[in-house]
Amino acid sequence: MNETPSGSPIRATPTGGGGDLTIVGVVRRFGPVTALAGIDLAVRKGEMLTILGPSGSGKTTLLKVVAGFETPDEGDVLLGARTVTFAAPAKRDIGMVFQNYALFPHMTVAQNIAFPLEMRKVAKADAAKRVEDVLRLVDLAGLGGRLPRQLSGGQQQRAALARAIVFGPRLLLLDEPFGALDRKLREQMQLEVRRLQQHLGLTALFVTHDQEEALILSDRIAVMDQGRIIQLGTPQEIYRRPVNRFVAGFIGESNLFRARVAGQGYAALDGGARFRLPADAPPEGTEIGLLLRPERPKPLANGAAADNSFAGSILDVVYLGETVKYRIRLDPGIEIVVRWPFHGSAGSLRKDDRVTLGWSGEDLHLVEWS
Amino acid sequence: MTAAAVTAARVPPDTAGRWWRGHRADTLLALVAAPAMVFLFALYLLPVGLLLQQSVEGGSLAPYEKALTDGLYVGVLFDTMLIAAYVSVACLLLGYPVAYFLTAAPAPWPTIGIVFILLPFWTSILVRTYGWMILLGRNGIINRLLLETGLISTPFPMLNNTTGVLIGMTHVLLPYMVFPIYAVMRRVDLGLLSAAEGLGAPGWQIFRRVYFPLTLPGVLAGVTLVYILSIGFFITPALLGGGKVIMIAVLIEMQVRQFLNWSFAAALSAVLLTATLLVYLVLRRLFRSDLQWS
Amino acid sequence: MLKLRWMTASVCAVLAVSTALFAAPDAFAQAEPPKPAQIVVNDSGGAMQNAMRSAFYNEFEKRYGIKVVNTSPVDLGKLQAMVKSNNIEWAVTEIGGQDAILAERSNLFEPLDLKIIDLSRYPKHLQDRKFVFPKGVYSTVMGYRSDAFKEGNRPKSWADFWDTKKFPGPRTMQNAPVDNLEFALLADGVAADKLYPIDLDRAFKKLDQIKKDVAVWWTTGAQSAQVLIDKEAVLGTAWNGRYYVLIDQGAPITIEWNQGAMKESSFGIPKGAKDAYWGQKFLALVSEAKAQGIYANIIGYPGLNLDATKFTDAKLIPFLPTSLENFPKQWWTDLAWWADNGPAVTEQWSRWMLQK
Repeated sequence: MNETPSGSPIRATPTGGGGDLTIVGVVRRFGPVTALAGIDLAVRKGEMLTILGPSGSGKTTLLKVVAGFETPDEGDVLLGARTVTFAAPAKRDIGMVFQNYALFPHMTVAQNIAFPLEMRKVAKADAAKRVEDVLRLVDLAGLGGRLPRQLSGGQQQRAALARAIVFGPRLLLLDEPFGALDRKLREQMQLEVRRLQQHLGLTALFVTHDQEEALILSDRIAVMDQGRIIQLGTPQEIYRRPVNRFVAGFIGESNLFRARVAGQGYAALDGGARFRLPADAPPEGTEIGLLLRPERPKPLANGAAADNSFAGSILDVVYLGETVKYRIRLDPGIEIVVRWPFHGSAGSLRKDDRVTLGWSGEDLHLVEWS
Repeated sequence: MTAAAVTAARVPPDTAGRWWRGHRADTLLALVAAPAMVFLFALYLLPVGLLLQQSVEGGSLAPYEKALTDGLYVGVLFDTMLIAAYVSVACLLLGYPVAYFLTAAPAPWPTIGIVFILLPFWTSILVRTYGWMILLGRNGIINRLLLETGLISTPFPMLNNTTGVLIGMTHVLLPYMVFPIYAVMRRVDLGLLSAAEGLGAPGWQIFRRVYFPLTLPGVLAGVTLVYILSIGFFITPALLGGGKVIMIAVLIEMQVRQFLNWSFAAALSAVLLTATLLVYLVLRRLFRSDLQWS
Repeated sequence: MLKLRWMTASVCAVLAVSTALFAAPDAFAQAEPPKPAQIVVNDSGGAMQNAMRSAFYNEFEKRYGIKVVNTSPVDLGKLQAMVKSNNIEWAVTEIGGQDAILAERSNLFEPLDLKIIDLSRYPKHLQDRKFVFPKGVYSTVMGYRSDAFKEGNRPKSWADFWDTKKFPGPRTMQNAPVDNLEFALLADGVAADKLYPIDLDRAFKKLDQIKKDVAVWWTTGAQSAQVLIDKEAVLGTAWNGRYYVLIDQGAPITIEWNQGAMKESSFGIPKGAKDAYWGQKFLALVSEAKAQGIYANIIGYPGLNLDATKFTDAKLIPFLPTSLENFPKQWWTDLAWWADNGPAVTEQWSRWMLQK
């Protein structure tokens, strides 16, 4: 198995470890279903850590356990050095931004934002000032008197964020907060949230099923599947070196081939084609997955050579602005997807054109096939 | 920040722009609502109009003068509105928790609860009223129980007085309070309660600041409904009040059925209608800022 | 006196029957209107309706093949509304005491067709009725729980009713001025034939004395008797039939007929009723002695056909206001006075009721 230390799951230590939020051995079952099958995770101070997983992976349950809406059957949750496993949500000092914002529709924006301050018995004058400040911070100055329904989606998002941070929480939880926004606004809000989180040095736990969002926003990503954390690492690590087929398939676009190590640095694919492997290949006979990111194969000029080179014809072409995506059937009968910058040699290729692709053995990343 | 400009720019097209879209929806809405409108007009507005016309038959305002100055009618009108207010409050205090139970209880309890609340609708109002007479009387079940257990030494007067009227009317009208509140409670986004909790609110603050305000439209609908229905009651108050509680509807009914003095009955009705509308407007006004969002 | 009246009446009746016989060919000459599938008779509902079903409705259906559908309650206002809007649902409606007079005055009734309706066996003073059909007699009487007062010490008059020291216990009276004002005057010593016009001040002053002892001012007939059963009151007033039905079922209630207030109960045919002819036919049936006998046996309200007693159970006689023993103890309510003064007096009654 091809693993680097940074790509392997980190086992959090209950004491120390510098975790601002520490989750230790958390298990949560619902009848016969195990939603969380032993979660260990430490979020560092000032870090934005993303829990990424498909629906049903347990990420929402984990968020609820951290927020206090669910109590784990086993394990503990610590904020700093304080164990909060059984503390009521109100006693946790966590700011939360919900999927649909959960702004109180009967209160003005300012009243919404003042709500956590009021609950903490902050003096009126002080609270008003803090509300003003945070409104300016999220660029909603002057809109405090409006009702949530009088705001646009993006403005509601900002208001929800303001409400979650106004009382200086120990931890910021974001539960799929961008789901309701259209693409353009979503990207803008993502960057803004990231900027704000870094600016304020907030420790944040972010839950999403959108891998692209996770890659943009996170300091680190924890990929979850079936109640477990499969891989924990920086976006680059997760993208470049997924630990298994699931992570590989879930993060970014990829070509994934099932193969068996055939000796002499080659692997045999199901269809009979043979790929040159990277140097540290496992022993002969091992069943593996070969991951080839679409930007790795390059068109080969006539006569140029590569570790792996195949001729094929273009099935279809999709323009994505800066890049172009091609689906190509290689002559051994393998379909792959490649993505190249629009300008350059690829710009002129059309459907049914013949092309020769080449990539090195090191471009292939080996993952477990299971 | 440019985002603000972008998001702000997103709003007008939905509301101000594409006016024809809104217009077409209005036309469609009008078509859909038309049968109900015709129904309302024919069976409500038209009779009310005829009633008002009858009250000024012969060009004299004398019936109004009498209705508005005669101590009997003014006094009974005031008493009626007071009783209606008591009944509304009693229904609210009882109905709100019941509506919450219906919303929150696990199956099959809500269904069972709804059946129990609807049960009175399937019995005639007279039967229900006699039922209360059996329960509340001097020798009724409740008094006998209390006497036998030694909790009281003389029967507690619950029948043939205002207490009896309030109990009976509250019973009859409770469903009209429960269902509007229930309908609103069911739509309350429970995520908002979690949000409030997560933001540091203790249980009763969640209720006071979030849940109750969110159910306020239902509360107001229920109170309005019960209040207005209360004002028109007469059989239950006459029977359970032992004749000592006079409701304005009794006086109106008497003018219509016994004395055939329809113009005075119409004038009394018009005064009652106006008073009721005024109460409604005052209620709306009082809670206007709390309802702006809905 | 009653005996005398009934005897003269029977003489008249013989004459009337013979007149009717001579007139008969004339009636046959008229073509009978087509039979409707059903006619609607509006009545007081409840126990009254059940009794009328057994005594009148079933017989009518059998005799003419026309179904009788019943509505209730009796409602003067509704009658006026129907006639005014010429949208008449009823062929016949029951109508009580002073309402009948008001309805007649307001021209809400078809004239009675005395060629169809045979009043020849009725007391003479009723034989020339124009609009209001005399259905029967009822009486507002005093009644009390037999277990509340010992034999030998029972209330016998309205003066006794007012005497709360001698006859302690909560009372019940109708929530209306009619009867109660007269009872008050009788209690105050006014003679039965000097009641009208009613001295309102004196009557209300006397009522003041008893007000706090009246636990229930009853609204419906059923309630008036039930109040005694439930022991909400031990002494009260009610229409005689209401007591009778419960006594018949074994309830411990005693009726005191002395100074009871008799009234006529009536039927009328709404003016312009499309089934008016069959309404007349229905009233003809109601006027028959046998039907009235059956009716009285069930509910204790006698009809006015003088032959009806032949069909009445002997055990019922003591419970009829028209029995030889009961009739002389009572007096007739002056319905015309009430028709004239009802609205104003009722208003005063409500005012009095609201006084604390």
